[in-house]
Amino acid sequence: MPQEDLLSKYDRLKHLLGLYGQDLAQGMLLLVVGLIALHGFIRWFRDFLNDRKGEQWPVGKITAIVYFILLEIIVNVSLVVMGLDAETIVRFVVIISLTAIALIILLQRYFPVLPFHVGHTVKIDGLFGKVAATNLYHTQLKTFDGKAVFIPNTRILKNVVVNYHHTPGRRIKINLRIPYDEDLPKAKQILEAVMIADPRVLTSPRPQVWTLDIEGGSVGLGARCWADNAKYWLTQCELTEKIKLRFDHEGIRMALPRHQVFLHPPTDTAGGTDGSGLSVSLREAADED
Amino acid sequence: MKINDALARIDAGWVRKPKGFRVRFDVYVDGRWQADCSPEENTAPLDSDVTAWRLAWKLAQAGRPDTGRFKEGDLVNITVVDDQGDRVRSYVTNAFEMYHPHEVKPGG
Repeated sequence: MPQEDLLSKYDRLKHLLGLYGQDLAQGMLLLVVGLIALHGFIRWFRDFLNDRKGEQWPVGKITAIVYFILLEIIVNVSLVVMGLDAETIVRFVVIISLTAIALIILLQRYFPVLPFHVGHTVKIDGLFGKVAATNLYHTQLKTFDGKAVFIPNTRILKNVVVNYHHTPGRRIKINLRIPYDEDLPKAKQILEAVMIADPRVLTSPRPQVWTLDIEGGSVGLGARCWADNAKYWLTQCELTEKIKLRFDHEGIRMALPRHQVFLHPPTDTAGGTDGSGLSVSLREAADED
Repeated sequence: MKINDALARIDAGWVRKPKGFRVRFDVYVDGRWQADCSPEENTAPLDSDVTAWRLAWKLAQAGRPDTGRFKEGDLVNITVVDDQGDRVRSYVTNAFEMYHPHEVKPGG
């Protein structure tokens, strides 16, 4: 009896496969080919958008939207080829999609979100680098000396994160010291002129030069200007180089760290001698940050 | 005068901010000198005079033409210009530098 039951089930399966097998196989084949093609297309599409960085498009969001639209089309077409009713599928997919969108909009603010995107330069827990990839479990950071660091997202959410791309520009800070007897107005003028003349230095906020302090026989100057994030590091390095060379040409010296040593003639009654017949007082005149 | 007008006057008259830099030179092609530059005119200029002067210096180092016996591709009169085509002072020497200077007659 069980053997006959098994045979009847086999016959029914054989009958069903005879009726729908070809459509099922075609639908599955279409789905697999479609998913592979979609994967390749999305990769190309993301690279295409990334190449147009000047446009400042939200590449991740655009790619995700295009991906889900094309995915729905591929799944729908595959199901129709398998023999399902097209109208029913479309209604079902529309209901599911709208429900998902509504839930995302309602609950988005309660989801923990990583405070950066792929390509941002960040400092996380003392690690400095560029975000190479993120997924549900960890973030891959590529450090500037070429190491790949994988940081668990739970650790990122609990730590202080510095995102250097959150604002469009960064402030360049160059501090230097000139001797007390040097031409202060001329030095300030040169610093400001060098910053203004650089195309990468933003005009707003305007470059500024401050006299920071007068200590240890020298005057501290602070040059401040702003540059785009992407150009920040190179601009700072080149401004420093140009300021040094320009000071050299204009005859303005940089203050050097120095010590003043006072030698007093030996006295019979003077206290504080070191046994050599001389008393020496040492004063550090340099101020190091 | 409003403060914004004063600042605009200072920006226009004190220190000009170039929009970019190019390395300009004369290149020997088919027995004639042709003016050329890098990056080319229809492309974005370099945004750093330091980079432009380094490029000019390296181009000069890459070929040392023997005056009087020029060959195809030799470069002379290598210098850096701004977006308006005006020569700029070298940030190193604070002078209008030119590598491999050579008198080039127009069309010659």
